[in-house]
Amino acid sequence: MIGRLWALDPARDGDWDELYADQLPRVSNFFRYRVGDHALAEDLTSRTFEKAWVARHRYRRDLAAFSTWLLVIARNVATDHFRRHRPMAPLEEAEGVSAGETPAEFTERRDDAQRLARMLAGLPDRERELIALKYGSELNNRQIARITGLSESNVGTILHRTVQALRAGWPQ
Amino acid sequence: MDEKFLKSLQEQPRPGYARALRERLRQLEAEKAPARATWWQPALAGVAAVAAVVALLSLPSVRASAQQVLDMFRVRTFAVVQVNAAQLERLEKQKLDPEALLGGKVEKLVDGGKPQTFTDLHAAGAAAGFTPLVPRALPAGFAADTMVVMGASESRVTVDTKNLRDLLQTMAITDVHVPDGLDGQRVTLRTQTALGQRFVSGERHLFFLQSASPEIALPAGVDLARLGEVGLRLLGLESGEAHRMAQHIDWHSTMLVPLQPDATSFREVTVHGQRALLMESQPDAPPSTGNTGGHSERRRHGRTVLWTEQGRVYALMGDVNEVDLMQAAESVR
Repeated sequence: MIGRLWALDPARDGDWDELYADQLPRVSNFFRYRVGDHALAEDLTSRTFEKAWVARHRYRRDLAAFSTWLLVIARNVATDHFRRHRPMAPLEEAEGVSAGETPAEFTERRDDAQRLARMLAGLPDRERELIALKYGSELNNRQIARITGLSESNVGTILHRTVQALRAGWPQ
Repeated sequence: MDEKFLKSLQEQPRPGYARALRERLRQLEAEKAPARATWWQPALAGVAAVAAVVALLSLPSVRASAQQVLDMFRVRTFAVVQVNAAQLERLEKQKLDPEALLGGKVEKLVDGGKPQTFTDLHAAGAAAGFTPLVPRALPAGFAADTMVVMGASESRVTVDTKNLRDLLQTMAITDVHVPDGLDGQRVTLRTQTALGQRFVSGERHLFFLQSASPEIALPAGVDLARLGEVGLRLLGLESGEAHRMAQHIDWHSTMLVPLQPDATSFREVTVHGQRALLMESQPDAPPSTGNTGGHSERRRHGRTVLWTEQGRVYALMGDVNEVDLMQAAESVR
């Protein structure tokens, strides 16, 4: 590790373009699952990357993967957002996926993905966040546990129950 | 509703959005250059990470009672382990840190607090609690810039071997085994107050780091060589080579320095008559594997010399030639 001091020097490393290209889909999909609304997801993604850039000298590679560090910031950004905008029910936000459509058009055109988005919008915050980290950002349970502070087994249990509930609620 | 379906909401970001955001970040780059005083932090992190790795390597392979006298690790010398870049990348992806390796509970007993920046060496020394040594013969054109002091820290890890077993399994290492008796054992990692001095000459810089050795307290009655072999296998050494090296190393006092063979060269030198390790980064060496997991690094030419003296660890690094670096190291008083 000491032999890689030079490589660890943030003034020298950080092919930011490459990191950015790598991590942008992961973060934006986290917000896609977390808040539903496309435009809002982009806005929160931007906020996350801006915060990450400003704080990048505080990132310590020995403590966490860059993606984990970035998603901790994303999670805080989401928390801030919900604190400020709680009156907007998650379900309504998810319906933003088909914003501008009449109910009839929505009903007619909704596909499985939209149906899934609506079901996600009905989940409690914690469950939805875990689903966003698992299926939006494609983290494993251990990584999710680190980010959320839950135990790995607890993450697994909650995700299992949540997926079961989604399956049960899926129209046959 | 399967896993694939649950991922069906994923989308690639719109290209226009991605470009616009990147531009915005570039603007931020221009507006907010990274704080100079914090560039050294990862160097200290590197020391802590080594301590963590050594903790892994030093874990007992036999059940040891918590009441037994603690064994202690302190750095007195360094050993280079040449590993291939792909193996390091795989380890990095597996999160090589105390939590991932040792699993279980990690308690922060002493928080080092935020690093303090100084422009006066006496003030920095007062904050560090010791009289700092200084390289007296700097390369031409270099002058003192800033000093930073990072406080001591202490963490206690309660071992859960499941993670380590999972890691071995993931890395397809089947010829070494983690004993069951390790579960629940406590390992304490201490890093001491460290002081770093930065010297600059235009775009070039030199950094001198000094600290008492990090320490690791672990249960006594251990077969360090056996556990060291596990660590060496994880670092990518072949089975026979790992076994031979594990038997040869003094695990109570040797800090492992993994080197990527295509990215750095190294050799033993002396500083103040003490054995030291000189490492050289190749200029702009490309990553040795095609897939770097997004973490490829552009390496500039740089040299680092590491040595220990009277229980303290010293590192001097900079983009200077070998003669200048070694003269500066020899001049440390």
